[in-house]
Amino acid sequence: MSKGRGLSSVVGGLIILIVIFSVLIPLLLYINRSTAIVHVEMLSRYNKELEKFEENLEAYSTICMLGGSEYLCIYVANNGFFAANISAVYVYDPESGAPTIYTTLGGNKILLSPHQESILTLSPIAAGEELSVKLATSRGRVLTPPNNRLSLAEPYAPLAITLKNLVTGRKYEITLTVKDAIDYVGNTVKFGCIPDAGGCIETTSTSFINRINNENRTVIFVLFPGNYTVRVVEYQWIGGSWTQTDSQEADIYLQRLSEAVFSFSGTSGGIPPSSAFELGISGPQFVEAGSSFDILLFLRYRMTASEAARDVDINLSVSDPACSFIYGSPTTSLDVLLQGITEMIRYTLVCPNDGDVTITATVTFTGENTGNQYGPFNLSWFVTID
Amino acid sequence: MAILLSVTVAAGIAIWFYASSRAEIISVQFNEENNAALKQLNSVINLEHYTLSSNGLAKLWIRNIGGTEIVITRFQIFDLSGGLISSTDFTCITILDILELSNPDVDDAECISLGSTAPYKTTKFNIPPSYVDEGVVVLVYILPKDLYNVDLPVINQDRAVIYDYYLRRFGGG
Repeated sequence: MSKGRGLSSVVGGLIILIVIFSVLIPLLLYINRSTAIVHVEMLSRYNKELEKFEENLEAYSTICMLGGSEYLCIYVANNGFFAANISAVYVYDPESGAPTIYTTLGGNKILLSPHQESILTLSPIAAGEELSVKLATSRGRVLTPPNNRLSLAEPYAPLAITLKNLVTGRKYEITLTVKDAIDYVGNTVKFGCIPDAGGCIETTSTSFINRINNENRTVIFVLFPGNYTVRVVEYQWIGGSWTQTDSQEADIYLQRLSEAVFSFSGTSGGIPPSSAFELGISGPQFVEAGSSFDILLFLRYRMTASEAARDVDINLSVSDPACSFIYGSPTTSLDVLLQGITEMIRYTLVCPNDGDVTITATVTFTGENTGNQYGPFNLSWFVTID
Repeated sequence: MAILLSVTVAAGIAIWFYASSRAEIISVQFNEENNAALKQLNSVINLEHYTLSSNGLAKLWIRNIGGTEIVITRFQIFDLSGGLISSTDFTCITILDILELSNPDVDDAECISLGSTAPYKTTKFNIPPSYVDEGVVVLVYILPKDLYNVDLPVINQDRAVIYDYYLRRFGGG
């Protein structure tokens, strides 16, 4: 009997082992594997979320010209580590939101490799029309470019062109030109827009004549983002016409604000104030005693002076102390005397006594930039009173 | 002894059969739950664009960016204080394939409905015009197409993945 129970116990134990090894352990392994699959899938999903957050697209909307017409264009750059698939570009009226959707361009999906940039040429844009843009990627990011209400009437990217060390008396001509670029489809577009009368022009220029030596001047163009070429040409008046003396050029990749600086020879041609200042005096040579007469004093400061004159003190002395000033004061001063300016000062005198009278003008001034004292510059005029 | 052995073997075989069948049921249920979880995990959408007009018509451009075909089963619209404004029912759904974009401008979305009279529904709905200026919060219920229960759509709510978006009217349009 006990032998039979022992055998049954052995068989029962075997059956339990069989159940454990053929049912329970496989079930546990299956559950474990399935759980692992879920974990792997969760990890994969997490990786996709990471890829989404690593996606780093940069975009701005602008106007470009294709075939003489204005188009809404987007500059887009993939600054991330992963290729980006722009699943849709929405161009919409910012008031109603009703979109035109571009899922392909030229029949191709819009794909950008890492560190690739491109230009997407989208809808034509007319004067008075306002458009907004939104880009969506297949990873689930939606990108809205800054300054996202685009209209031909509202350029938003200032380009400041600074010209340094300008030379007195020379003309400077600044020419701005929109550069060509190849868009995503392969078309050659003028990427950028110089606004003009409700549309865009490809080039514009402005010029001025500099009157102050070593002057710095900034000219600002308000444009749409894009690629531009700036050319600055310096002219000098030689032999009755403007002759080119210098030329500088730079390419500008304008996004929101850019500055270009061009430097010229500046002090070249500037002459010392002591040489640039000329004093002139004029009046009658014979005057009847007791009659009034005018003396005109001319202060000529040449355009090519290296600096302006400050605190110009003028003294007019008369050799006969009996002479008196009816108009004007023996001592006077000017705050500033700029290059290229001639000042005239009038005095009216009366001399009661016969004889020769010497009228002497004395001028001193301070250099505006250096603070150096210049003068005295003296000049005399002789009048016979009888 | 033989009787005891027979009883032991019979009981053992019965236990083995029971354990096997029970294990199979457990594994099948576990498999179903896992598959459902995996599909839910792969159900991802992106609201790429929307419009909300002054008359309260909301249009949503929704893209399926997940790894499985999905159905959009329901929109629930709440005001900003959390009060439910309206809710669409589950009788008609929009199906989006992988990377497909919904088109609210045409009523051509595939519709699975209990009754033939159920209206077609795309990713658009109406809200009271008084809410368009301050905006509304929309909950979008989606679930994998394979998990969608045609006969009892109401139970789909339990398996739905829910996305919420804030919608507000553009400009002054």
